[in-house]
Amino acid sequence: MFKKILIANRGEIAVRIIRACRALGIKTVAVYSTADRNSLHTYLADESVCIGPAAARDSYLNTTAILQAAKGKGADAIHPGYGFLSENSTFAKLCVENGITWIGPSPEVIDRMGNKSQARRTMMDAGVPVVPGSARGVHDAEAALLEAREIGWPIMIKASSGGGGKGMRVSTCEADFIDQFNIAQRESQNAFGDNTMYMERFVQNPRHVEVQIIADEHGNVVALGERDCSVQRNHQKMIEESPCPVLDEAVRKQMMDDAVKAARAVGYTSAGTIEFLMDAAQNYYFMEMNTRIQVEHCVTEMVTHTDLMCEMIRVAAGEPLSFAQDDIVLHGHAIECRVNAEMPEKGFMPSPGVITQTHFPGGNGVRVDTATYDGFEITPYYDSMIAKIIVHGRDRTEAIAKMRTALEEMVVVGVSTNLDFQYAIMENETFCKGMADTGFIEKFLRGEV
Amino acid sequence: MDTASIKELLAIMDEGDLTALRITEGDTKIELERERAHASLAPSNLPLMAERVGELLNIRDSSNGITAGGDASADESVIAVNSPMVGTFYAAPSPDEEPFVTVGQEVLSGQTLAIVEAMKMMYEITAPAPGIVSEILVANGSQVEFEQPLFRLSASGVANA
Repeated sequence: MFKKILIANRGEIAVRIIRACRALGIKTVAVYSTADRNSLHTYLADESVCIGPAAARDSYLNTTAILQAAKGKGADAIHPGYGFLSENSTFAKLCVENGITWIGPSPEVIDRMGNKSQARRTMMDAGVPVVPGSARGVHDAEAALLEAREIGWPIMIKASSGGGGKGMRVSTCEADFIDQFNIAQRESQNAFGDNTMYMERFVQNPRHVEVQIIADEHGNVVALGERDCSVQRNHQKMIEESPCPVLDEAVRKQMMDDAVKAARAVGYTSAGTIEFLMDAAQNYYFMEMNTRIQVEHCVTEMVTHTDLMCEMIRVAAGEPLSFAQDDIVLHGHAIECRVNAEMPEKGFMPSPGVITQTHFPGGNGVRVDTATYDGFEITPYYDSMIAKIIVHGRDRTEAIAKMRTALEEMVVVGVSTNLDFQYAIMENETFCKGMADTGFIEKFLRGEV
Repeated sequence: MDTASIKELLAIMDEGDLTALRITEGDTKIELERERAHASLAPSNLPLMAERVGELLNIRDSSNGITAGGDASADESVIAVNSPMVGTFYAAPSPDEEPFVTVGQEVLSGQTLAIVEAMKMMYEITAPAPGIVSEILVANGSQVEFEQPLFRLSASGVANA
């Protein structure tokens, strides 16, 4: 087992990792930028190193500084959390080359799944359902059009090296295809330095349903149920829940099997998530794989009674998974609301500032993951998340009731938050009926649901 | 069953790291069970988190969360030289050479004071202005972090008020 782990991250996930390390008797090293000098994670870790100025590029993305800090402190492993360097295969490789264990899948696997068109290809070969689309990357608009005719409209044109919604355009019919292709390709070249594109049939307002998997280095792969993350705005998730409120048991079983199949197909180890798009008829298609731990992993922990963070660390240390597929049963229902320092009424503009006072909810089945404390400053350099509120109930109705209570009780003074907005969703009829798809937030903002 | 056989069974348990062994031989049944060692609950050798949370609470008690920086900023005649990066501090060009500077030494603007090394890349720490080395704040070979004070120089040619 590791003696000392360096956490290459900040905020609530750094706190989460530190707590898991302590539970396993492992010493911790925090890294921080000058803007995070008084961050909670620097206080909870056994040691901390200032690695750079505020800008992420010079601190949390500074591979030299982080690796040097790890070597200087004698860390034998690095946990990258989510975002930042968590899916940076170059950094993962650097760690390995420097004798530091990377807590995540291998650099080769990260690469394989990071290239979206290659990931699609891999899934197709493995027999995992994918959205009808191009078999490989395309560079030329005319060639793309020929393929588009096979796929059928409407068509989503996507950047192979893309993510975060960039380099993506929808072509509604043949007439606008070439134009949309060229626009998307130009955006891709600018954002990712790669003009390789691919195409998929555009599924209108699908649900976003993802499966949490974890695999060890002994060939064991376990699927820990699904999460419905359809409530999102501009591809930013706001609310996640498990299980998916409408999924048939037979479809769930098939989806779990496909997720495990996908993980095995790429030789996956560590925690990861397979994202699917699902249409109203519960046809689901592979969208992408996230080769890291995710923000919403807590939701799965609540319904499966597992500790994914501890499990990730154990697996990286070469231990076998502490549970088998048969041990995984989804108990009750869990929901997570992300509470951010933002102004929903102003287009969700971030609201940085000093949080002077907080009161967090608690009680039966209420979990708060946060790095916020009274007097803490939310700076404009990083994400604006204040806390994750996760509730668990015996069923979805009870979970929603608990979330309403938790959001009502929570107080944040000093910055604007999306608490009221989240509360409004918890009272919304469409959401409460479990009918929210990825089009929900748009309609909700327009007052149509 | 005699004690010699039981001793054998105990040896088998130890060898196989078993917690229980049950054998039935004809009418004889023997059960050996060891209380499971809770290795994971051995006393923690981690520093108490309470101390560090206490530090955090002290920070929270002060007016705002930000501790004042700028050691030398108030005093114009003191030049602070901080590390521009995380790395290993080397006072000399190589292990068997003399250190770049010593306390009391006069240095020119741009003169090398030390090396900070990170991932095999050497970075020269230079004097930002002419002055006299008044303090060397870190030991040779120690790990330094971003903005960690390394040297204090007193500005040469600064008239006392």
